[in-house]
Amino acid sequence: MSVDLRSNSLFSRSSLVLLDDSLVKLEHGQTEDRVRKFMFEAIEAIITWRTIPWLNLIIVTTFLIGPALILILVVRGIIAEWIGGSLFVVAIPVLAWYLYCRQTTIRIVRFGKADDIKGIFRPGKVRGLMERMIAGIQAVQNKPVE
Amino acid sequence: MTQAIAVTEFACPRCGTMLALAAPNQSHTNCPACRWSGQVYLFSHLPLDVKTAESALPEDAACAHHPSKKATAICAGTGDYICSLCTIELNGQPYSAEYLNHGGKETLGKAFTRTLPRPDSQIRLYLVAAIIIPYVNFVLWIFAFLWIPHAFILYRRALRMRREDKLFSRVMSSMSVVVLPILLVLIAIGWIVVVILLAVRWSGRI
Repeated sequence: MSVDLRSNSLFSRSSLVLLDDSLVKLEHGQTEDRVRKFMFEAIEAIITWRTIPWLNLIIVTTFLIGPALILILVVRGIIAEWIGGSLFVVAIPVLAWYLYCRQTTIRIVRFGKADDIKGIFRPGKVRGLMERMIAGIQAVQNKPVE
Repeated sequence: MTQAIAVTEFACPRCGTMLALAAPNQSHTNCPACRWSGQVYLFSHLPLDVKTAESALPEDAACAHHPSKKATAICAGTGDYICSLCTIELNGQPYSAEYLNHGGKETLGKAFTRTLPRPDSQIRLYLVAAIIIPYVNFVLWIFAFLWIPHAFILYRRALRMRREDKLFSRVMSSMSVVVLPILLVLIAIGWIVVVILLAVRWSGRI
C-alpha cells in the first residue's frame, strides 16, 4: 500500500497517510520528511471544501496560453503556429484538470484549533480517504475507555 | 471512565460564524451569512487529560516556576522542584517545561523528532543529479566510485526501515524498491565500462 493522498504544489510536496489510529501528514524534504500526526481520539470535527485554484490557473494562463496566443496571433508562420498549438494542447488538459479537481481544503479541528491540509486532489480520492478516515475516527472514539 | 464530548457546532471557515448541522447524518452544509458551502463531520472526541496543581502549604516543597503550587516531582534536567503543571514525562523521566524550552530540547532531541529520514529520497537525489543536471552529472560520474557505494548503503537502510517502520513502508513504494537498485547497478556497470575503456586506451598509448 502506498500513501492515500499526494499533493505536489509549486513550493511544496506533501502526502497523507491513514494509519489505524491517526492521520499522518508528511511534508517532503530532500533527505527527510516533516511528520505531523493527527490522533483520531482528539479530532472534534473535519470540514472539507473546494475552491477554484486561481493561482494555478493564472500561472498556466501566463506561461502556456499567453505565449501560445502570442505565437499564433502575433508571430504567425508555420513553426510559430506549431509551437503555439503544442502549448495549447498541453495547457487545455492542465486547465481542465485544475477546474475538475479544484483546490481541496481538509480542515481538522483538535482542541478548538484548526489545521488545514490543502492540495489539488482528485475528488474520488478525497472521498475515499474521507470515508476511511471517518470510519477510523468513529471506531477509535466509540471504543470504551477506562 | 472517560466520557467522550460530543461536538454539536463548528465555526464557518470563511466568516467564523458558529453553525450547527441541520441533521446529524447530513454532512453538506451552507453558511447563511457568507454562503460558504462544504462537507462537515462532527465527532465525539475524548477530553484532554489536564492535571490540576495543588496549592503548596507552608511546609511543602514549592514548584520552582509556580511558587504557590506544591512540587510533585524533580526535573531530571535541572534538578528543580516542579509541580504537575510543569511536568512533562519523556522516556519515563519527569522534565520541566521550562527546561525543555531552554536547551533541553537539544539534549532530548530524539524525543521531539518529528521527522522521517528518507534514504530513498537521497538515492533519488543522487540519480537525478547524475543523470539530468548538467555539469553536476559530469562531476558525479567522475566520483561515482564514492557515491554509488553510499547509495547502496542508503538502499539497504531504506529496505530495513521499510521492514521496521509502518509509516515508511507506506511512503516508499514497491516501484522504488525495484527501480532504484536497477538504475544504480546500470550506472555502476556504465562507470566500470568507461573506466576499462579509458584504461585500455591509455595503456595502448603507452
